[in-house]
Amino acid sequence: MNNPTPGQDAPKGSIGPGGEFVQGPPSHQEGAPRHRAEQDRTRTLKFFGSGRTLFGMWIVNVLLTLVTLGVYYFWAKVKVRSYLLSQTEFEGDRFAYHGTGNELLVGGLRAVILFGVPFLILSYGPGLVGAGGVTLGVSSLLASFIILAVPAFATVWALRYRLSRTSWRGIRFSFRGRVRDYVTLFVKGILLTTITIGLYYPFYAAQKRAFMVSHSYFGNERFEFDGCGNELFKVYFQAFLFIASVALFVVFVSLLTPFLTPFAMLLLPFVPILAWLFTLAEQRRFFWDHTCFRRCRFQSTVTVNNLLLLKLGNYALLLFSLGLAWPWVRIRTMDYDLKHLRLNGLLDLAAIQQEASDASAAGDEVAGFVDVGFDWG
Amino acid sequence: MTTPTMRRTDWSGTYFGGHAPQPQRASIHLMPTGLQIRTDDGKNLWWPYEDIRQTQGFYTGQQVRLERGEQLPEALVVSDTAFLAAVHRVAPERAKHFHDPARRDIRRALTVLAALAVIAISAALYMWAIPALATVVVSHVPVTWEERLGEGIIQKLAPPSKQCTEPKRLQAINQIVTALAATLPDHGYTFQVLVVSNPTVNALAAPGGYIVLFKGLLDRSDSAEELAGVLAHEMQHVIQRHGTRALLQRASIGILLAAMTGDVSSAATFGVGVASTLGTLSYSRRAEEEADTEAMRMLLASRVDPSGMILFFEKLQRKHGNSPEAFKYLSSHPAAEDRITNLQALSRTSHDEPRKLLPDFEWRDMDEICLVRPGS
Repeated sequence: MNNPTPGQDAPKGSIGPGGEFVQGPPSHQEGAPRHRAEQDRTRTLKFFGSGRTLFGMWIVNVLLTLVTLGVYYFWAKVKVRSYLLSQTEFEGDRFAYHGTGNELLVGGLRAVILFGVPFLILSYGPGLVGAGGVTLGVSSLLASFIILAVPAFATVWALRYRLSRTSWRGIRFSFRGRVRDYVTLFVKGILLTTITIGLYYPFYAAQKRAFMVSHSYFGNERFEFDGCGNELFKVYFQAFLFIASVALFVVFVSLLTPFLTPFAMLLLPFVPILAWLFTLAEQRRFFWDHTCFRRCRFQSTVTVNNLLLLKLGNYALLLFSLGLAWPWVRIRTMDYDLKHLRLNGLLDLAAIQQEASDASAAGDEVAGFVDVGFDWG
Repeated sequence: MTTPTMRRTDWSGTYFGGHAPQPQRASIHLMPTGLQIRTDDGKNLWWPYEDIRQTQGFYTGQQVRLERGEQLPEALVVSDTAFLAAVHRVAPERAKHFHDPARRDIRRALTVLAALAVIAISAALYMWAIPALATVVVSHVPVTWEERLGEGIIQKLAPPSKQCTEPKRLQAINQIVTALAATLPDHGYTFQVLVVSNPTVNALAAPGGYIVLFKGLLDRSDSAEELAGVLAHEMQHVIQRHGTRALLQRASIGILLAAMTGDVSSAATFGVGVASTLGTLSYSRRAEEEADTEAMRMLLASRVDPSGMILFFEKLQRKHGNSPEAFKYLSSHPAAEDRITNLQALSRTSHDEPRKLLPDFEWRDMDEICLVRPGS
């Protein structure tokens, strides 16, 4: 996907420095100021983080977390996040993180009270007081509802908190999606995916992404998403075909030339891994290539090959260091993510105004507990 | 030592007003009470030091970021960290809350100290605190909880369809257990032996009194005394609450490692999983030694011939030491030679005349225990 601008049915033109609309093609208009022509190009993100610095921070964080019996964890998280964002540069200016340890601690406590306490009571309470039968059944059903609901709430809250505490050039990001809408999407997605034995999943994944992107703002400007599930369905279908054809191939080989069977069987463990990497890479490209901001479109250059290299390197580092190398893994991953992301088109910031909404930190910690992955940059 | 850069009072940076994403080049003049800032679009700003927060610029490669204002602050970014040193020189008292890059060397030394402290604390937690905590907690866990825990484990490991239930032979095994249990009247457990139709040479104990014997192990035993050794060992695991303890210790190590990695992402847990498995190995070795010693005491107290247990372990090691099935039982237990030497030494402490276990039972018949199974 290389569409340079979103909203192709919009009239061709560009936004002037004062925000007024200028008729004509954006970059080749005669007499247009040079800086405007320069704006229509490919932009990349740069990352300056160092594994060594992060390792040092981590050691101190571990010590303080141990000594404070875990309380420092929230401040440690803020330090790491702030460091990583401050080492990320776009157009010569770095990002900034504005979250605080206090906010995260309060959020964590709120998460425990909202979800943890009811869950523990429902799942262990009846057993401890010796209740049985219907009570036990109903309470374990309710407990599993909580387990199901946590990711939905956590995703929205965490995104809302994290974006509202991130800024670039002094302008905050924000997420304005409502939990209610996401829960509806989530329940519908899970039900349909189950009923269709997974066939609906790509459509659900695309809708989920669309929800997240199209409710994200930089200042007063919204991000847009124009991908549809069909495209993602093709990706998943290709991965399925790949697995099925290798499996068939192995079956044929073992039927025709039985002595080759062990060699053909050797292929099998690699097939799901490759299929997984393929879907991961293609999905990431689908997600970003359909994400737009004003007159710019994101582009991801993630491929199976470079993703495989990243993952293999990361696993080797972690395995041989018994997990000690994770600061380097974190840096490597972030560097990879940013290196393979571009922004093409006319970056026009003139009309952007600060417009931040407040957000609570509860979801952020819930997201930490259930490990909801959201690769925003 | 004061360098020329530190004496500099005029600096340049980038100013963000916080309303629009247009950066303004700013010239900054350091004054004893605050910063005088002049932006490219002609704004003149006065930032007293006490109103300024430093939010970035604590680490190598990080730009210095100063913010002023509460909800949506204005920000001033200076790329050169020497700026901080200059601020400290101009306003040593008022700018105390700014990071001082001169202290980075000390910080580096402190980080090394922190690393040593982390190693020391983790070692102390691992070697003393976690086992001590587990001892205290384990002694307060009610037997009914353990039974429920054991039930869950048993359902997975010995599902009813796999159990051998020939009553006469099962009763013979239970008689041995009863004889052994009689030596410790106050343990509070009801032992239940389950025989599983499986060629693995292994036996295990689940919390709450469950003992699982795999048919493979039963096949290798030639007398009631030999099996009594294994049973006594597994019963001691139950009585000493090793299973419950292992679960607690595993969870504690999990929490300790989670505290260390900060965010436990799926990738980090991959490496951490290896570390945690290695960590619990030494705990389990200690438990095995304890079960061996206590089992031998139990045999002696019930006047069962201790040479049965020794003989059986020797046999497992000699005959099947290299076979994969025997490996399973031996690998989770202490080094076989040490273990046998230890048992021999203990067995010599008693001079009571041993009695014959199950005098009326033909041990070879034990073979047929799996002829009756619920599914058959």
